[in-house]
Amino acid sequence: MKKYFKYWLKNSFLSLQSDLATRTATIFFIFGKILRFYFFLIFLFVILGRQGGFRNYSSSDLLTFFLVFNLFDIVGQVLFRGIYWFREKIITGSFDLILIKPINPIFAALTDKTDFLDLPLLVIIFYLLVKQSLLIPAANYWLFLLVSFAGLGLVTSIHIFVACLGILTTEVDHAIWIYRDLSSMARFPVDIYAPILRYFLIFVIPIGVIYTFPTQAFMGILSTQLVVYSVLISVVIFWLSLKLWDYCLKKYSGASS
Amino acid sequence: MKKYLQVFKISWQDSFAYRLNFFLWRLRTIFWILASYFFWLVVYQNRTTIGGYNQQSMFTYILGVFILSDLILSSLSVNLSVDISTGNLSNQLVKPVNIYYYWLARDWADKLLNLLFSLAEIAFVFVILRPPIFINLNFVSLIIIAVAVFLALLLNFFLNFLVSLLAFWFPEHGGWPQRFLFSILLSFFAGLYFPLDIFPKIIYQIFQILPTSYLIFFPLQIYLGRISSKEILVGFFLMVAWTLILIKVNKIVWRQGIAKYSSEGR
Repeated sequence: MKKYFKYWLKNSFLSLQSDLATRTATIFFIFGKILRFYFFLIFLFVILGRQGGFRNYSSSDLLTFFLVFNLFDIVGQVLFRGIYWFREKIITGSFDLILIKPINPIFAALTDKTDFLDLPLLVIIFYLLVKQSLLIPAANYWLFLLVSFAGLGLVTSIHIFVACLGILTTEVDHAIWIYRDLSSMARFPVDIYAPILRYFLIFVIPIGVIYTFPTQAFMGILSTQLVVYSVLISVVIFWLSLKLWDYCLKKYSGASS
Repeated sequence: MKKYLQVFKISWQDSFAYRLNFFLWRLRTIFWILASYFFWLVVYQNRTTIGGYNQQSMFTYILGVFILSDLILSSLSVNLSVDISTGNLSNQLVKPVNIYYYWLARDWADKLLNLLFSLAEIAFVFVILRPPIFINLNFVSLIIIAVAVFLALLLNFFLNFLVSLLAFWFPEHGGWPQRFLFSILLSFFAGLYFPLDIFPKIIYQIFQILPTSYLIFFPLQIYLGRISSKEILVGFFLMVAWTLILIKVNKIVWRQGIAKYSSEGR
């Protein structure tokens, strides 16, 4: 465990150095990300307007959902940015160089880069989230942590599945963007949608478990059954993703190397 | 002309080289329509209009955004910035081709492909969901929209080209950082999130001066019949003026950029 932490720390430091070496690019990226966040916030306020909310959620609730969505979206990107470079490693054969290292290859592939460019936005989101949730009971924080951990497990699994697809087909980029496009439906709680879509987003592609459940736990409106479900589904899907990864590694042929 | 047709043909074939990649890319756009559709369905549950748009006109606008952004905003000339930063531009400079026509041919091959597929996808979504759509069959109106779309294609090409040329000065990451920032600004100011006239009048008037509002929002306003003949004429005038300004600026920036170009990495 200590070895992996040191490896991640070293990689992160290298990513930070790389960001600092290209300062203008870093400024463009950070500015763009913050701008995108605020544009969407404007969109949210324009849509909510005088209506005040959707279904049983007030404007303030929807803002919390939006902030938590961004929080998880960013955490996924900060930690697993390496997936965006995975295709290149497969088609050039440089993945071979990871395989010979004494480290778990999926860990090395996913955490190859740490995205520090999202950190300023993360600070803004934290600030807004703390302002939003000052009145939340302390017990809800623990539940939030538990469900968030399950959500993070699912995010990890999805990234592993995409990496598997990369090995089998060399296609990664659009697959990860499909996940992110689908995730965008969870900017708002998934239970505002029609029942069939809601079930799809909770039980088929568990986007709702990743993004909606933590906020609902935070607000104290998530049932015990769904808390248990989120933990179970996270464990099962994580296990399946690792099994598939093992299978894909056996299929990997080191093309181009 | 013949050589640019050949460039067009090669670009077209190139798009089909990685079929799974192509399929997943198109799948993304279907998910994007579905996500937008279901979201707006929820928004309109408790009310009949938003900023003067009823459900039918908003759905028409959203589907229009999907088709027009695939046609107008898609651009292969974004790769020019990669060519500049990697030094691959030298390959083009030694060829007997005009750099603008070359990228225009590549761009329009991509756009034709996008248009064909996005129309098929819209038809698919339409059959499945049957959203309430406003159908404009007025012949004169359709001609005016076609002119607006053509001008928007030119305007977007020169706007994109200019952003790509920035790679002469900012070559990091293949010119992607400035492209990223530009695409975020474009999404908002072109009205991809929602119609720009939802904003208060004073903000909307500022948007109307910008070239970005004529790429997607303006043709859709004509389609929906939300603007007068006078506003259409003013819009056309501004589109032509912006295009001419951008052509001039592009030429100046290209001249200065090419003087700075050192074909690094070659």
